[in-house]
Amino acid sequence: MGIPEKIVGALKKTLDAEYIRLDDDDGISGFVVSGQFENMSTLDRQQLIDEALNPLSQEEQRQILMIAGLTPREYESVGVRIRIHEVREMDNGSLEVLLDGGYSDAIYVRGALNNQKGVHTTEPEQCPSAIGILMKFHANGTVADPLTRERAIRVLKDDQYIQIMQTPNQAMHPSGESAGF
Amino acid sequence: MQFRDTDYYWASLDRMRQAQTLSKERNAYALSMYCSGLAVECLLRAFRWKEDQSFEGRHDLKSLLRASKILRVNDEHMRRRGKNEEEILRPSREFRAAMNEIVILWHNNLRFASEARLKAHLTGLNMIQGIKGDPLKKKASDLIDAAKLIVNKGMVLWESPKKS
Repeated sequence: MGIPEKIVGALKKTLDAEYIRLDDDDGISGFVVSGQFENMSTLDRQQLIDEALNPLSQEEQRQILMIAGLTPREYESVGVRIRIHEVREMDNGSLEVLLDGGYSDAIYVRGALNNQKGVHTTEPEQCPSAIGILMKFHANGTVADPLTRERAIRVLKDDQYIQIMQTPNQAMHPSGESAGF
Repeated sequence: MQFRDTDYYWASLDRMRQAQTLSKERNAYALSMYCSGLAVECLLRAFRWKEDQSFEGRHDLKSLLRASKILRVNDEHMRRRGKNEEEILRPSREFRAAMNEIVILWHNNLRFASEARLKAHLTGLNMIQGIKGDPLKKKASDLIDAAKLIVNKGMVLWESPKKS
């Protein structure tokens, strides 16, 4: 298990995190969004995050540059949503989901689909030829309740931390920036 | 105009002083908050310039923080001074808390915000409810304090290689 995966596990376990976004680029940095940060000073938030990351070794902790603690409302204002690049129908009936982002983003998107009854997803993997960090995974439903592309897009569009970049009839705002401020 | 590390560094100190003046002497809190974040942006750009001299047009403090490597520089500076991991943890946490504050309160679009628009924005974030007195003054003060901590730390780090 890599360090980002360990961080995601540790933060989820302790902080009841709604969303975690990590970038691994010469050190790990990112956000953790949790209602627990409501009415809490940023120093207390950082202490809580440090405590959550205590199970990691000192060497692993040294790889972490900074993880900001945000409430869901704060994230709405400052955060950038995970961008789904494409949801493709494959010949075998499954869907391939391609997204801009790292492993933690892919895990979050996968989780949103896994919450649907009968949906199964594969472990996310990097797309080697893609520009930037593009992850992909496969998802499918059951014979009785198949996961169609339309259903998957509907589920993903309903999630406040996810943005679909393009659907057949709708071009999304390309920047991914929050319109909050 | 082209800027290099020293330009960004001195601009950072100027913007920090101006942020305090705007808040304390002019009650111009939105502009003061904008200036505070700008001071931090300038500082991070100064440190980034040492790593990468290409121009970064975005005003994303989170990316600049990573690219500046200032957190690593800070930890290494303290280790060189003989501090152990426990002694590094507290100031490092304070630094990260200050950045966390700035990430929440500062946005490049603050320069377009009237005092009323800023107040509405902070109300929407549930940040000023229950504050006694002028809530904008309080939040400007919080942001100035966070920016000062980072800029002051930056000053120490900026000067330290010359001393070693």
